[in-house]
Amino acid sequence: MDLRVSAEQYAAGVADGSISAEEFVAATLERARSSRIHAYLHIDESAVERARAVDKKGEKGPFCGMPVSVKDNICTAKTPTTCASRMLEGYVSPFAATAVERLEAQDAVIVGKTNMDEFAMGITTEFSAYGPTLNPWNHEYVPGGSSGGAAAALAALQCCASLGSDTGGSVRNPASFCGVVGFKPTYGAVSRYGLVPYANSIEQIGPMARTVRDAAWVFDAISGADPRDPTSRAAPAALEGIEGGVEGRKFGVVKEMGGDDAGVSRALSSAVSQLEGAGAEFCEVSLSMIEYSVAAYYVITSTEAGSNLARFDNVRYGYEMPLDGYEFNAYVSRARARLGPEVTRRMILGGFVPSAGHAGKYFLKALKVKHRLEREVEDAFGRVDYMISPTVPVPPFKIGEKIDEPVTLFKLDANTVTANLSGTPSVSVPHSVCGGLPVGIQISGRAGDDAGVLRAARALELRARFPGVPG
Amino acid sequence: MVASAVDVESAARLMKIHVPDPSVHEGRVREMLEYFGILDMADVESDEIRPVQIGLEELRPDEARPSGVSVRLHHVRDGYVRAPKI
Repeated sequence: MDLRVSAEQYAAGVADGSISAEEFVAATLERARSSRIHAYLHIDESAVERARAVDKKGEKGPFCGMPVSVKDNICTAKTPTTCASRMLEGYVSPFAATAVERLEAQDAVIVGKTNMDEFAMGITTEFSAYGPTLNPWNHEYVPGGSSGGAAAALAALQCCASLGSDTGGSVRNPASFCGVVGFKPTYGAVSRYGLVPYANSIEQIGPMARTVRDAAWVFDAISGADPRDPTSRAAPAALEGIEGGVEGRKFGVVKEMGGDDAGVSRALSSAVSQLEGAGAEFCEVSLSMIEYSVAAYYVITSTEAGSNLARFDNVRYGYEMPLDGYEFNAYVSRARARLGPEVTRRMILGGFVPSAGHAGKYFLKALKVKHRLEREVEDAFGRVDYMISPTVPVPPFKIGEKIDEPVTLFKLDANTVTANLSGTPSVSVPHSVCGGLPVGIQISGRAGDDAGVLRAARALELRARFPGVPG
Repeated sequence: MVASAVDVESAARLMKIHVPDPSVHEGRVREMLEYFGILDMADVESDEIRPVQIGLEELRPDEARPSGVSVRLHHVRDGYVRAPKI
């Protein structure tokens, strides 16, 4: 069974009878089970049965039993949702996220939950309580994060599409490191109902796929207003018109979002030339607040995490720990000792930076930087249609190489956090291979122009001719 | 402002996390806070914060819905969730 097909090719194959959903899903699960990369935390063995049911259906939904993976912080009703934390070991949500429901309603088959940094706090997937995911391109390297399992599963042909979540680049960063497409939609374009919250003022569920067209297809399926998430809103279709090209469109090369590596800088120059060849125009744009954006991002997310993770008291969610002999606060404190070291540190920061005596120095200033950055982004999009940069300033690095350098890791978010802080859509497109590892290019657009961003990404994808994962 | 082990312990207590040895986290928390100090250099003092506003009528109804969740919890007795004494 050849698993190296796009989502669209898969659905066309099932529709014309050349692919059996049951056999394809069975082969996908077998590949995931026998893999060393540890992309999945849970594999749902009932997926084959559900694919068989789709095969037997007279009128199939558009996804035709396509195997889709879901990041482990997005609720599914039948498989555990642990956020890669020992704190939620074995937890099964009583409901599924809206995005998951919408995919299943169109006959997608959820095959498992993918590995991630615990509670999405990290950019390497090394902070998973269940061990790191390996980069399918080279097992000594990180796959990026926090949706590292999702990106690795896609690159290693262990699903056809995936759902990740992006708080500061967590869809785009691993997409870049694993050579797949990762799309962070406009804030509100996809319902967050059922996404375990980390920093809910800026995070979004985002589709990941091996092609831009597939990412647009999944986006169209999961996007739109949802009464269960008051921040959600209608989103225009992206797949229709995706081949429209970039003729006459203006791109801004962001001065402050460069590459810290020669190969990454070359990829950006090459992407600019390729898009110029497609008729796009280029100029430089400057966003002065980017210098402060990463610090503002971490102050805001730590503060929101401190509030959001307060629900994990081990009474309503959690693992088996006897109640007897504990007063409530002592019980909660003791139970939370299961949180991993990075989550513990972010919670400590979340208690510190918004507290009396410190809020003016950290949290309020971070909010002011966020709002100034929003204005700068709005102004820039008055002059250009899109902004372009490397997705991550560096190529993938070795597992363990930077785990003891928290600020170095923070700074690798420099090119991605702007889209989250400003609520704008942004996509990472696989572009080049540098030293045997992939490099992604990021294209961002105006809030609400998700379709335009994906159209530009498609134009770049066509010219980049990215080779795909070896082996 | 640099966080000491006492600050780390106090913030951990505030967040209800049992940290047996605060000095384990002290160095990294301090490093992070020192980095956040860069915000002092952003010239944003005179800026205003624009909160996102959502009308009450746009929020989903605040109503109890049977979910069957209690059967999945570890400590349930006679249909009620058990919690440690407060």
